[in-house]
Amino acid sequence: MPPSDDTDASIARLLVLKAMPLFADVHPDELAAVAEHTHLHTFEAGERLFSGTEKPVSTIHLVMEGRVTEHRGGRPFRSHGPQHVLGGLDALALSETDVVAVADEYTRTVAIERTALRDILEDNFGLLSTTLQGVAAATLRLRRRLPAAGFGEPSLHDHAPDGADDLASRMAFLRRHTWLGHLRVRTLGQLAHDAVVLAPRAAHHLWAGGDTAEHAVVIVRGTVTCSIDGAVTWNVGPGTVLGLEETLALEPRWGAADAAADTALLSITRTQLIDALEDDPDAAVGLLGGLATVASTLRDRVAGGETP
Amino acid sequence: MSSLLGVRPEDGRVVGLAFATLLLMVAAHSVLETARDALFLAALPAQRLPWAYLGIATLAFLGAWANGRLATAGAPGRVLAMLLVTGGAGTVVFWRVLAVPTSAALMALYIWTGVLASIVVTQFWVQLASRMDVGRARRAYALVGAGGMTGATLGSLLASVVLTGHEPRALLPIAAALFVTAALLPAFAADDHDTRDAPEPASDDDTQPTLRAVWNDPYMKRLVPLAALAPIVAMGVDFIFKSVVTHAVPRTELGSFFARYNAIVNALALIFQLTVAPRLLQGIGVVKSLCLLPGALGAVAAGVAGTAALPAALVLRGTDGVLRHSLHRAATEILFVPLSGSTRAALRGLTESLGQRGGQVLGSLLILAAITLGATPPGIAAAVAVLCALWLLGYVRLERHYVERFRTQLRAFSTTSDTTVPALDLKSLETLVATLSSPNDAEVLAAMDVLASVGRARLVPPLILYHPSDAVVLRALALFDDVTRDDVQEIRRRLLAHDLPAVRAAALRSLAATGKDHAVVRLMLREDTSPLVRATALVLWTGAKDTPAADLDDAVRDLLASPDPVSRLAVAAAFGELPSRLRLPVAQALLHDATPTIRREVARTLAADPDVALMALLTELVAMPECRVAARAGLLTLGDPALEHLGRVLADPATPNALRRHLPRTISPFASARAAEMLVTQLGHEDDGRVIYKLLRGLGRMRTDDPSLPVDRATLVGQAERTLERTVALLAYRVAHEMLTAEGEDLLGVLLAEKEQRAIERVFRILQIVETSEDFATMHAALSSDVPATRAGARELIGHVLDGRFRDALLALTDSLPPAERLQEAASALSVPVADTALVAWRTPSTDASVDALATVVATMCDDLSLAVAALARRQLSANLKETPRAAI
Repeated sequence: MPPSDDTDASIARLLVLKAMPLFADVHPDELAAVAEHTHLHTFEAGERLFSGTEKPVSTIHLVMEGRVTEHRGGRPFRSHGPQHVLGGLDALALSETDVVAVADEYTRTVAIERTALRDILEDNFGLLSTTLQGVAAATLRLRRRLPAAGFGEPSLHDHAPDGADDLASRMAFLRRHTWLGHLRVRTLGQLAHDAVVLAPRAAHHLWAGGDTAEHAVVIVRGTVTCSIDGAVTWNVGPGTVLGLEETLALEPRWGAADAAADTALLSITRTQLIDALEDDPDAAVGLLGGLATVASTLRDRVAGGETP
Repeated sequence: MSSLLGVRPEDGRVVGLAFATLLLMVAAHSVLETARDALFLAALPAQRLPWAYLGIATLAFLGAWANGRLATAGAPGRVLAMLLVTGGAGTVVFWRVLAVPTSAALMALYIWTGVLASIVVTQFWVQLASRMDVGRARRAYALVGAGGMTGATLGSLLASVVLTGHEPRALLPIAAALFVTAALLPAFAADDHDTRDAPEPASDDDTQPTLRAVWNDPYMKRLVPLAALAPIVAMGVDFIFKSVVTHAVPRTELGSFFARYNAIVNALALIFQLTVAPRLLQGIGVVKSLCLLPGALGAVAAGVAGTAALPAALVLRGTDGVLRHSLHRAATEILFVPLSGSTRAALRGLTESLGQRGGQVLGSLLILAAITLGATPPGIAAAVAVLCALWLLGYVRLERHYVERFRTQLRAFSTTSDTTVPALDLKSLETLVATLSSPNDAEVLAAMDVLASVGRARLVPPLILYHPSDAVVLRALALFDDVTRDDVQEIRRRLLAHDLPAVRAAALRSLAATGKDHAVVRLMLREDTSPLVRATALVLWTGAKDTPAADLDDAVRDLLASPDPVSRLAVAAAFGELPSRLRLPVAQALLHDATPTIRREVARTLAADPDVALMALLTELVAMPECRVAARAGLLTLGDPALEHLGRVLADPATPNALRRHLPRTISPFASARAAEMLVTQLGHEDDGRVIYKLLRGLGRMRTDDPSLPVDRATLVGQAERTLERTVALLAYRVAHEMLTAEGEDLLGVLLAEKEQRAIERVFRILQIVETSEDFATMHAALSSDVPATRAGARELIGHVLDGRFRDALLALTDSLPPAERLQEAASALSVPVADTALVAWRTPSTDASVDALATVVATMCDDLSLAVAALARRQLSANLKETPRAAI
């Protein structure tokens, strides 16, 4: 179906966006900017939304009607129905994963180009913040499906650098050893400046599952033991950003965290983080891309068959 | 030499080859032209010249058509080479034919010379333009044009030398050899094409424009008549000159006279081209440079009209010779650069055929008519002066459209965030109302929200309160909050028996808000099983007017004592029903150690019915992201008292930065002159960069929404200048830092580059606030484009809409030159002490003066206002410089 620019078509596209759980609380005026850059598409059964050759995917589809099966790495991964988003994480993360999406039946979607979405998000922090919250929530859901919540083994145990001594050290640490490192240096500088340095002793209780999440911590030295319901435990070490997803998603802590040894942490509150990002839309889009990359990687592991 | 002439290393190869090609082409033409003039005027009277002009014009129509086709051919470089070889071969044929000269052969030679020059030179510029953006063209075209000047001078000198010992006919094989040599240069060979050089297609569709499209485009349609006026004036000048010369110079000396005269004029043109033209193109811009030729020719032609003397004619032709093929040619060619490839080729063909050749035909006919009518050279000079005035006026009027061309191209970068829900027509309203019946709950909710956002909530039928979805019912209860109709009240009463406590609580709040159903509140307080509903009922009961004060205080204490999050959330949603004296303490108690959800609910409740007593708390809540939207709405509802309060808090240095940085965007929605005044005043003495950024964003939003809102321009311009100076200082740090730092990870370098970009962004934000009629935001966005042509277009536009040292500094800072060279340019426009010091270090590396200068810059950097810059400078640079200053550089 060719794109239509009349008011009715605009309203139809706006309704599709507004009906998405992610945008349910966003004011229609803010979503109108997104709707203006969307197009209606139709696919017959068997037709491909993503062919697998386009890496990263350049178009994000919101399913209005019909069903689509998503294949990742050559295997069927998930079936999508109305209000589902296809290609969102891949586009935001600039993922190089093979993604094939095939319409199982006659399907209608509203599509937006990755670059257009990025421009809109840069211009509208409210939308960006909502999207960030949605991606953080998606990351949390994926963590719940992976062993050790998708965290790897601590990698900087034996050569943990001094990262909490002064502002320059903190900036250098965040830049070199965390996935936040691709943010703009001035935003890292702002976060490093605002962060509080914590030095919990061994066995100090950082938080429990179900606690309100108001801050994230970056482990600079030492090890933190995480556990879910006291049953599953694993350790994370320097360079790990812990608690960020639930802090951004406004969800409770999904597990407990305790210092396993004398530890140095940089604590960043949600307010500090949001303030820093609001000052720097590029950095906010960068963080969104970074978080989407984390989520995308976790999803590839889920698609690969890993289970807790 | 190239840097001396303003050509950058990355352009060196293209410009060098273009220079050499044009040099040989024009040298060949100059030799051929000397032979042609000498042979023609020695055998035929000057009165035959118009017929030759007419012949050139007629045949050149065909040539221009062919040129348009060839310009878009697959292998453009080979096309030019082929044309040059053909030119050489044809010239050799004339050499053979003119062994026995006839009138027809001489006339044919005259026409051949003109047509050949027209075709190859036009083809050359079209091919060159396809590899240029306007910025590169402004830098390079003067030098490339100098190739033409050099070629003309060398060609004239060569001809002069040859004529001392040979007949003019001997020049023909020399010209042929030069054409063929030019063909051997690989200037635009297809396999030499570097994609880096290719500019993006312009914003217009990259298809050949129709005549109608050209006519409808105010820029393109003006190029054609302007192109026509140029040859008419040139022919008039040429005719006056040759008429006067043939009367004053013996026929036998005409050859050597023309050779000497052309050599002098060409040498002057070359000097002008190398020394003056680049500065004019860079300094006064393209269109003003174009105005010089008609302006100067008009003035001199008026002089000739008065005297008709040989010196005046020499000056007239000399002015034309110096300006036309140097500055004017280069500037004219730049006019085609902003067009897309196909449009450029087609329009170039059109200006060549309809404009240039049409102008030649018209010029020929006019001169023939003038001769027939017995006009004398002074009379024709007077006519030329009038034509020059028209020509000049045409360029003056072209400038606006030239600038608009770049504006149009940059519109693709325009921001989109101002879009709102479109005004609804009947069909779209039907769509929304129909969606209320959708089986998909999310779609129903979306339709309700969209209808509410455009003020059409009344189209949502009350029966939707019976919807099976709890979420829909809750949203509908909120939507009908102010509705007191009996039918709605009845449905609310029924909803008190709903399964979901949240629905029962919301229905109870709605009922209580009408002030009639206290019995229901008491009933729910006593009998409902849900803590959420009971807590809601308790708040509503305590808020009733007839509750004794003591009982009320006890009840509130009980309410707040419960740690249960569900109960606290219920209280947060309902405490707006309490007497106003209790709202503030209850809100403060609820906010103590609250979750984000409860904080957000408190802010919403406060904002729903704010009063002045709550102003301070609402202001504090602005600092919390989850409360910000509601708190701002509440303050806005309070109006002027809240605005004045916000202004005081913003100006108070004791206000925490975490709050201050959010106040500008809280003040800007007030959208009043007073609000703008507060923000501009604060901008004048604010030190915190993050607050400044928010002040600019707030002011930017206000001025975008209402450009008539008055702002203090002097304060804003002062801030822009300070920001520009700050940018220059950051660039100076970068230059010093690069001199001191080896390869490797470099946080400071990255940070300085980022801060420099940020500072430039602020300058553009201020410009946008000061001048809302220009789209500075788009210009700034275009400067970040990956496409050189887009960046060049933005810079061209900036060059036209700004002026003075501010423009020069901004253009220098946004240039693609290496940091030190940008700093040099910027510092020449704007005096910043630390920049001068850094430049001393850069200009005299490895000297004591350099070490001292670097130490000074680093010390300044370590004291910088930005904590991150200072911290990294101390860590990365200062120790290095103090301990091993020599090694450091």
